[in-house]
Amino acid sequence: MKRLLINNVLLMMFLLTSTMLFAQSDYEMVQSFKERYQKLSDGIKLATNLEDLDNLSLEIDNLKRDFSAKRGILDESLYPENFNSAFENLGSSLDLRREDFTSITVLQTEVTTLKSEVDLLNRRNNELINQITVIESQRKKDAATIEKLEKLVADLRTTILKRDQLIFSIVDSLTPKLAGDVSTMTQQDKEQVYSQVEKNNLLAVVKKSLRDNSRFLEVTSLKASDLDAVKNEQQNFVTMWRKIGPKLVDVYATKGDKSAELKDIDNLFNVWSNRIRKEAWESINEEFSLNNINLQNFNNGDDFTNVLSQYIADEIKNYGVKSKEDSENAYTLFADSVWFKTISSEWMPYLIDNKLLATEQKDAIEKKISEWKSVVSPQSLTWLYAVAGLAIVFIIGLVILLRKKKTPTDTTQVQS
Amino acid sequence: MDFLSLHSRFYYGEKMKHIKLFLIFTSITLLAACSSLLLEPAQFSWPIESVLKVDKDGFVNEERHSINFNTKALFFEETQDSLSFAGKTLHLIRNNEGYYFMTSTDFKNVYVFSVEKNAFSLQNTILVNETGLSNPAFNQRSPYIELLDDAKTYKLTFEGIQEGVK
Repeated sequence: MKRLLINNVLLMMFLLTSTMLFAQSDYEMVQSFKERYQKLSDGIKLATNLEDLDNLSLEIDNLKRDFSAKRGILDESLYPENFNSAFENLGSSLDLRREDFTSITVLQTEVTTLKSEVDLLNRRNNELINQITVIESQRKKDAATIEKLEKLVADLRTTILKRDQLIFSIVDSLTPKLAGDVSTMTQQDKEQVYSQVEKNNLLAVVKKSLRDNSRFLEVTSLKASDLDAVKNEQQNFVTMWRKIGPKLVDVYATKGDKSAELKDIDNLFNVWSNRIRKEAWESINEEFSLNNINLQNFNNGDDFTNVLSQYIADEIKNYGVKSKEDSENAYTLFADSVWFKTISSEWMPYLIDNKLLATEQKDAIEKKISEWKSVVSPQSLTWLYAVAGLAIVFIIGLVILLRKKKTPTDTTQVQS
Repeated sequence: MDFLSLHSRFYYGEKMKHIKLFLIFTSITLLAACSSLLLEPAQFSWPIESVLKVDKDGFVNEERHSINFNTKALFFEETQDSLSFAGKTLHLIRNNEGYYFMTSTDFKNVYVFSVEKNAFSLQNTILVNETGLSNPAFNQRSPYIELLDDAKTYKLTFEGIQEGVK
């Protein structure tokens, strides 16, 4: 009896549900379809990974199944779309979004590979820097040691350059969203960039690179041409950072202590720039040192001019105190072996092009060198005496010749 | 019968024949001119109803079919209140024959209109529920317009309710 009652209730419920189902408004059904469709469409746009898309794909199948019985009325009501074209659109959007994530996955794989290469090069750089420091600290450097040092420096330069190129690649791969106007980025976009930058430890990698570049300049003594290459490298880095730095500041605006890390990077750029400026003066000083000319330290054009002018003035003053030979040797070493051979020909274009030294300052030093030269090896007067002697001989000869010509005329006059 | 009478009979008989032919030709021409050109069969049904929000001036705008009209008179006809249109929605559907069916929540009637120059012209008022419709919705169920009101269903033509409450 009880079972019969339950069956009746179930039958009543079925009939009621059926009636309700049949009495559904077509308009509401179409609206319900449109709402679910719109939710799926938005979901595809907002999906953050492939898993989300897989779930959405299942929901699209459910929507299609739920409304396939109403295909006829939907075909007429979804103008200008129809039932099939609506699902084709969803499918296309899903495929396009899937491609986005596939590309991102490929890029992330590339970045992971690049990052491990960067780590490897960082370790190699540290080893090279340590070796160079040890060799530089040795007082005596024979030819073999110098050759080894030069090779190590060249290796280090190559690995640093390679590492920096990898960093550029990481930045390019990680920040496609930063290419546009950052003010138009949604908070979600900013969070994505933030998590990508953090995941790949980008700020730390950039900081390490900047420190290594500065350290490289500290432990090495470079030629003007090498320094030019370093300066170009620094300019590339600065350009890259100017492109993404301010945008990252915006992205990191709400991250408190992390935004301090961005300021650190700005400071490291300044350190690097100063280091490059200083490196030129240190390398020039070392050039003099290698030739046993010990000068005071100089870090700018004014100091350089003053120190060199003072050194030359002292040498001029000491002329006569030191032996003539020593004075001449000192001049030859300074002027011929260092100034004209290296400084003037190799460093001067770099110093003047980079506005580290003014042309007037260069002229002032060279004028001093000329003065020094005139003191150390005054011009010989022998040739002057010879010319004067020759002139006197010529005049005497001319006078004699004129007298000889005059004498026969006087004789003729007497005869007549 | 003399010659004159014979001539007279023949002459008038011919004249009458001409008059008859003229009248027949004129009648045919006039009838042809009066008949209009018909393109048939034609179907005007909308697949689903449009649910239109009445704006502050009493206008509704149906975008898909580019129809725009004022509903003040309709709401006044139903409620006798000139401001009753405020905040209301109008349910509108067109049947296969081209008649427009309109109703709204709390309406007792469905109004059937045909189209005239720049106007809807009332053709029929169908009383559906004396207490007013609580949640009306039209479906296209050709040749009928189906009116739903909660669980109740009515089959309508422009003439009235064809089938009662289910």
